[in-house]
Amino acid sequence: MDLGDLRVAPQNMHVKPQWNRTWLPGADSLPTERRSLIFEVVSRFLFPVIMIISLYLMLTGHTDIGGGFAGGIVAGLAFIVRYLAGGRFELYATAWVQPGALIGAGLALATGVAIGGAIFGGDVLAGNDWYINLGILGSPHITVSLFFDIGVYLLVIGLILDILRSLGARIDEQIERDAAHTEEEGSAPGTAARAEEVTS
Amino acid sequence: MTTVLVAHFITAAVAPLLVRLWGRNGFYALAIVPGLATVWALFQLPAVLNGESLSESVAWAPQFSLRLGLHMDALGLVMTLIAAGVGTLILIYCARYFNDSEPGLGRFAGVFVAFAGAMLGLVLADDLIQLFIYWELTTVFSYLLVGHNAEVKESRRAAMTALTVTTFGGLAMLVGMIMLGETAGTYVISEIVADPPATGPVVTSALVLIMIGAMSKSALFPFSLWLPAAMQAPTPVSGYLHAAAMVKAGVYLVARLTPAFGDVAVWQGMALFFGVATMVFGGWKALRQYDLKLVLAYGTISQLGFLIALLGTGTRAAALAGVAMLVAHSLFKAPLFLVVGIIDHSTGTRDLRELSGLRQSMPTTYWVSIVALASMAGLPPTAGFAAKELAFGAYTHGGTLDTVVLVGLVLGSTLTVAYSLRFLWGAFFDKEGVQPTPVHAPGALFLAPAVVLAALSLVGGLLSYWADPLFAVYADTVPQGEHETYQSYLALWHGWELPLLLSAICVVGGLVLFSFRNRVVWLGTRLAFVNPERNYRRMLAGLENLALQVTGSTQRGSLPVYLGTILIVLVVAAGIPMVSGRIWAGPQPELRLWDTPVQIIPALIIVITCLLILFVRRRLFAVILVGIGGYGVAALYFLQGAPDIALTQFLVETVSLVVFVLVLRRFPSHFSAPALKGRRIWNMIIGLATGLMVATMTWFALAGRLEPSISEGYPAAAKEAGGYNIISVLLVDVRAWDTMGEISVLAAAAAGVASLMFVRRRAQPRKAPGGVMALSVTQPPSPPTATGAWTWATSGSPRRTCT
Repeated sequence: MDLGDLRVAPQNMHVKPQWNRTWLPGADSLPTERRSLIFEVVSRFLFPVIMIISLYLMLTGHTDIGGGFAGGIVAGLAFIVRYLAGGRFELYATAWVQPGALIGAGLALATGVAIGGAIFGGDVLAGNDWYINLGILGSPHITVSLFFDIGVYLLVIGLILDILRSLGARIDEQIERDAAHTEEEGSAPGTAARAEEVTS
Repeated sequence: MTTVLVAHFITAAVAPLLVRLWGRNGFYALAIVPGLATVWALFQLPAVLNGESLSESVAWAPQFSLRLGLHMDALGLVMTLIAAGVGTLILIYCARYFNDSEPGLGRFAGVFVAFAGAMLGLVLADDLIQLFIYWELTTVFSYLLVGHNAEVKESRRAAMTALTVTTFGGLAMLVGMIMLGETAGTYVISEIVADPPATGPVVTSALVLIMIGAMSKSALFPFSLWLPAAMQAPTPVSGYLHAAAMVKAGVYLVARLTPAFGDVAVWQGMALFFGVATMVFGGWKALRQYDLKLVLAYGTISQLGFLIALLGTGTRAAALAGVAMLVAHSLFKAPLFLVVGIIDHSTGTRDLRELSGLRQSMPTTYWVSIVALASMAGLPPTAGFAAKELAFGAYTHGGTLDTVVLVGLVLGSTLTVAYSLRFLWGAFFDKEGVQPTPVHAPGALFLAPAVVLAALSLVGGLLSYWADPLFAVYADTVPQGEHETYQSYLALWHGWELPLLLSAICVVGGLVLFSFRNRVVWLGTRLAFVNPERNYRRMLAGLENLALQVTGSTQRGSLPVYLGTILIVLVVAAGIPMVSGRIWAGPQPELRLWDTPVQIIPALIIVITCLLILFVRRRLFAVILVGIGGYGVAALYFLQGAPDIALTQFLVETVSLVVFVLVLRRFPSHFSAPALKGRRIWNMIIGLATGLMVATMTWFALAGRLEPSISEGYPAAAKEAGGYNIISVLLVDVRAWDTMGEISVLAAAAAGVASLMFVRRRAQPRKAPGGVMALSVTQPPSPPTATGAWTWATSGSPRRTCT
């Protein structure tokens, strides 16, 4: 089946998660020699852990090491690991949100905080902080800049997903298309084209 | 006044909705707003006649001394009446000109009303910058209006021409306005006019630039070509933009600044020379047009030259004549355009060689045209006659210059009479060998706006004595000329004087020219050596070619050359002050080997990886080595007690490593060896010099502190913001503006990565759906009827037809 022109797999091609059978559903589309069972299992296990670390980094940024930027990159790394283990369809299935939407949402949230500061605080990006009582969960310290940080977080995730999609998945497509092309021609240029694919 | 402007723009926003709801009758609702503006302006008449003026002003950006100021004096009132009044009538006309099925009618309505608002803003603005903004708004809206029939190529091209030419002038004008505003110390127009800056080279060049802007907007020679091209626009657009509103913007600007700068030779000279030249050339060119609308277009160019010459003269009499002519021109040119639209609608053609016998079949239209044309030709008792008398009178008792101008004006007016007759004859009279054109009669509502405007032309002439005080309020701001012995005034009858004789000469001359019309056409075509259209296209093509050459010669697409250029500039730009300032003689930081011995480990790693990078030949190894160096730097950060920065560095290094590896899949595995040895040595020299430069800079920067560090205050600032992590608080609170900027850059970079790396080719030929081609090929050729042949000839490819 030729999937070369597809940027996102069509709905009926999406592999539904089936926990009892496979670890990374999207990885089924990879050629067998590129798959690694250990890598797939480990990345599947690691993914939620890394995501929680990233959330932790983002939330504690104001009082401890971390911040929206670092948290966003960590979350991006989680997607990177998943993409490396499972290929581009795994990436599309995991990060089904369009990167542009994430970037836009992040930028809008940060700008919204800035303008909100101008409206409520009298100055653009004016800050404020308060404690919320959550009963037995304690009373976390909330600052306005936390929301600003969430914007940064979303934007950084979007940026990394964008890079993954363009430099990762799209180059995958190109390589596959070129490979199919050279197979069709099946002659001398094929060797030259194959030599270009240095690593993978 | 602000309310009036805001009302226009709000109406423009809801206009598409109204037109969708009510179809073309929505234009009647839209006409209410400019109509109310007209009524409001009429109510200001008594105050303005007393010499008062309305002013509103809001501070906008005080640090740049910008304010939103509106100001209405006599000139502003006259222009408001023209822009809003004619706008109202033309909106009413639109309701019958268009069909409900017209594509893009809602957008057209919105843009039209927005244009009316921008025009009002232009004539009421009391600030040069604000005036420029409205000026450019009218340009943009006119682009949209002229290009209304976007599927027609000529229409798009005409819109583009108008946009290019007027924007060129507008930009020149902006430079002039800034020069003028900076010299005067204020951008407020009323203050500049009240207290003009002393004449000097700066003011002179500013005035030249502003005059270029006015000339381009008012389609004066040599910028005239866009106006005839813009006749591709729907007729209401021509009637409003190209008769009453937009082209009057340049005239208005000249009229606005003449009280202050009318005595400056270059202002006066440019206005008179280009004005009179345009008047004569435009009139001459109108005489050989066959399209009724083009006759009017060249006539408009001619009249605009007339107006700018009058208003730029800088004497009271000329200014009075100019403002009277301004009003008269709007009142006769707009109905003539509307008449052309009606004729076009009723007969389906605008070519005066095909029209015949319309005098009998369209009597109302005929009489409307008679009145408007009489005003255009300057026949009594119309407004045009009164204004033209005054115009001739302004130059009759002067020196040589005045006499030369007078001769030009008389010549131009003669041509005006001739093309007025050409229009009348071409549109309405019976022609030999032409069948009477079939007509479906226009409705009363369709005719009404033209009737009103033509009636005003007539009444304006009869009552010109009463209109005089209003125009005089403006004219009094211009000093009397040296030869003026008495105050001129607007009236239908001045007595047996020279101007009357000149008017008679014009009429006779016009009749003579008209009777030799075929020879005039022949002569005009023979004498047309310069084709401005072609020159303009050649100029644009030359410009594009130049841009291509410059881009091609500077942007070679070689990464080593780009990088080398950047680095050399860095070394030279930073090196010259370092050497000339003898940086080594200044303070030097004290030398410490390490803070803790552990630092040696990452430092060694960094040094070793950097040296190794020089010798690896595989790209992948180089990338990994760079990554290891980066991790070493992160470790140094951590050891220095900056865990936050270290974490970020680690993460970014990891991501870039992955990205590099992803990209490297498409690169050759090994670095290509430079073909020339000299090139390689040169690269090494650049690298070495950059490294040395950066290292030296860093080293001396350590000792270069002049002011106390601001980081002392950071803990307190962080605590105030409610956080303990200084770095993070710094990023998202104290210096959140910086972060805002950075994330915007990130967003732009993401867009850039996705779009630059993978430009999708849109124009890829797609395979036709299977079956269609085969079917049409196997189909037997259709019988050789006329229509069948046409289908084959025009479509170029066999087309499936129902059989």
